[in-house]
Amino acid sequence: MTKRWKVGDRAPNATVLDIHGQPFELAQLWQTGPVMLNFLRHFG
Amino acid sequence: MEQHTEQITSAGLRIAAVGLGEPKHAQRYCGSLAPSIACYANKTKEAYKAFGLDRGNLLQLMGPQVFAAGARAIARGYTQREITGDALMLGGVFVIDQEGIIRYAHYDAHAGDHPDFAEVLRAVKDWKDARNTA
Repeated sequence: MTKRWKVGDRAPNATVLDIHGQPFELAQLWQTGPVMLNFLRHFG
Repeated sequence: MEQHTEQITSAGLRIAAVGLGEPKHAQRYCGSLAPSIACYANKTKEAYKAFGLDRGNLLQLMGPQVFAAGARAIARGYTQREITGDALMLGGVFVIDQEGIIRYAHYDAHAGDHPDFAEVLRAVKDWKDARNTA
């Protein structure tokens, strides 16, 4: 079982790929303002 | 999610989505289904694991709630396309502020589960109210 995060916790970071295949740090998303981050079950 | 974009952005949030698959799948999803959302691909599931997301069990993936949610989605005109990545994985939604603090967290209880966007917006309002009075 992986750790579940709750309100007030510091968000973890992880590297994903952008639509061009370049590595992207998720933490960059919230550095410029609040973000709603959705983890999809799949694309489609 | 796309149908809630205006409400969410009006609340001051940008929207991003991570999906299981290749960058080409993210590009297709953003291009056709969710053009206003920044999409990223994570085939390795590293980001899912980092955020505490896991694979579902049989009941979470094929239980009656999942079929009911599927029927509602079809009624709204949604049609299932090719499944990319790991079909057993469950999703989730997080609101994260500029300091990197989680202000809302939702872990899908089953494959057809989605957050109540009114609840997301309430959480954002509560957080902003608390910040403004601090």
